Amino acid sequence: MRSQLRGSGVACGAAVVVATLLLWGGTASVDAQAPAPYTPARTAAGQPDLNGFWQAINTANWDVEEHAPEVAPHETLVGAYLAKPPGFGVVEGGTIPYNAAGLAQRAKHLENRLKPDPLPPNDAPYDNSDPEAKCFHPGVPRGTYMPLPFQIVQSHNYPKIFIAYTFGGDSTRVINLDKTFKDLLENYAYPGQSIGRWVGNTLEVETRWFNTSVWLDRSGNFYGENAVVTERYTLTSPFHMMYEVTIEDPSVFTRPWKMSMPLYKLVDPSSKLHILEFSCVPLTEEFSYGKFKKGVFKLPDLQ
Amino acid sequence: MKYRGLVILLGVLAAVIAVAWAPTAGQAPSTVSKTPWGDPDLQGIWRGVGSVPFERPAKWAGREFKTDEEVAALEKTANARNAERGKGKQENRGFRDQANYNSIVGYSPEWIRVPRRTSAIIDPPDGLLPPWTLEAVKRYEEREAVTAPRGDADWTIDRPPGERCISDFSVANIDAWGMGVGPGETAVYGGEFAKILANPDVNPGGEGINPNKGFGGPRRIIQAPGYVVFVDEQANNHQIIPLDGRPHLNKKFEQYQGDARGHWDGNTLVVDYRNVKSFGPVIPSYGSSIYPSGTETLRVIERYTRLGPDEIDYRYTVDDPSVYTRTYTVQFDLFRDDNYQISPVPCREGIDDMGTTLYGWRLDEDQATQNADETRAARKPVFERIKRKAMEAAAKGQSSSR
Repeated sequence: MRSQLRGSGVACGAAVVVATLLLWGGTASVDAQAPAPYTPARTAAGQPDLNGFWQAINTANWDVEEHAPEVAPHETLVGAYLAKPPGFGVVEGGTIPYNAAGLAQRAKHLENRLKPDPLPPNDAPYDNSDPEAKCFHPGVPRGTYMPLPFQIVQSHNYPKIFIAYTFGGDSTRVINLDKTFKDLLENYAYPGQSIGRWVGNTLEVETRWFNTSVWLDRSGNFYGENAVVTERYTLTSPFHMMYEVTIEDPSVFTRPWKMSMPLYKLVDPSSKLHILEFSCVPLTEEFSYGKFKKGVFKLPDLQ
Repeated sequence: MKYRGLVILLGVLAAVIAVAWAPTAGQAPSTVSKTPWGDPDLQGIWRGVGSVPFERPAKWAGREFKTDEEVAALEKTANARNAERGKGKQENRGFRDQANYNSIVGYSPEWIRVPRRTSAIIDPPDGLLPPWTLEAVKRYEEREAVTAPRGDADWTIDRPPGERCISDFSVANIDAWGMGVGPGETAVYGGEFAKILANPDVNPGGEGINPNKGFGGPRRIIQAPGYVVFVDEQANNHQIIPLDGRPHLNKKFEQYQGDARGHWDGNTLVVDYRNVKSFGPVIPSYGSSIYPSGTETLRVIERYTRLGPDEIDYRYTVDDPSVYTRTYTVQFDLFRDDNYQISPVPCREGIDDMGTTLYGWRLDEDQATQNADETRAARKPVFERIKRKAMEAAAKGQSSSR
């Protein structure tokens, strides 16, 4: 809860700054998705230069689907602080094509999103509640459109791209431009592992090998651990890029589906261009483990 | 988090166990390759080779390097031990109640090399940590007093940062901090090891496992104009280092991973860390891994000098006048190993062991108390030695020299 409040505050501040940068009427609307023809600045290696600090301006972290306002969870405690704002969503067509099992799972997620995982003595799955509330790595693609900046560090002569997301304090990712999945150690993790390649002026990144289902927003939308996520980053001006994501997971969806949104480059003075450490673990331990604290723990609660 | 612990342990062992491809140390500086934008190019994956005692053991007093014969003998012993591991025979202590845990994780298919240095500390010249200040001694004692009534896991703050999945300050293997050669390892390896560590003839030093320090886990370096990035295998640590001369963050922004600024001194990358966030007054059960005092005055300077295509001279200097009576500098040789694979490591997003740990101790508070007592007892002789040295230095006026 505290992390959400804090995240919202940062988001508002950052959004105000970034909003002043709009060169034309770019919005988070799905109607504004066609990348404009643009010749991007390039690295010494001749690739479009994505280096910089970027941020989305939309409500996708609340709900990637089209959504109306909703009352906050625990409204009596937080009032409008955590009320869900309305948004056009970022999913092409407005809704995600879940199969029946996927829809049921999403409903379960929504119901449990702010309930800490059961933990011992019940060995229940640990994907019941929102990973954001538990301070997980935001995952792909959620880290991109959480209302916080992220930084891309793109080498000109070394085939790796590094991305650091604000949320979590250590949420980073290395995109391999010189590997295939066959070359990588088959390790599974929440952010998966990523292989990238340039397709014209677009950086195309495929991510696989997730260790559990990955949440897309606070509304319980998700994909399964066997999903394949393909992101496309295309510069459309010196200060904008189009971000498109295709998600395939036959166990959850009836067909592959796509989301897209513009991303905005931050142009603050360099002293303010910085991924500040948002180490949220110490801010969420009461939420996740509070009932196991000495003096609080009561055995009967677990029986 | 068990998984993470295993990965970290593997990383530590990778550092402890030398690798076979080490080129001859001390190569003359060659033409350093540059990035397209003109910075020295350090990109790739870098690993330490071998390990040395963090502080110089008494048996090597006055000697910066071992003789060739000593190195050969140590390598022979280490490789014989390694071969035993390879056969699946248990060696030393069990770990986590698994009979052959050390055998499983300790084996290296590569020939183990032993570096020639007799200590990782190269300054002060005696290879020993400088004395603590009396202020640091007092703060540590206050911390022990706060910790004393606590059990092994009253709350998350009683567990080490790594177990909590908090990425913390990870410059090389700096978590030693001069207290690292005792309590933490003792807590892991049990009472027998505590006896060894409590012996001042053995600790610090020896060519054993735990008093030794290597570079830590492999580190990937990525560069872009204006930035250098470190991505560590260990604990998902990373650093994004601006090179544009901007000031440090103001003190409001204390960060567990510190705040790094870099610049080039010729071909040397210099990284200046400040604003390291303190973990508070409680000494966690594996207490060695946290800084022994407050961190307000802590400053750490790293220097990376590329000596050739595959070799970096790495050193860091710790400057904290409220804790140490003078600075100290640690050196490691780093070697490039681009074939090494650094994968993302789930921690918070993995099997959630913190809940299990807390729950387990709630069911057995007596054991939790006993464990805490044992780790506290193991810390005591290490601290007493540090305190004695601090008081001797103060008597000579060294505490007030800075």
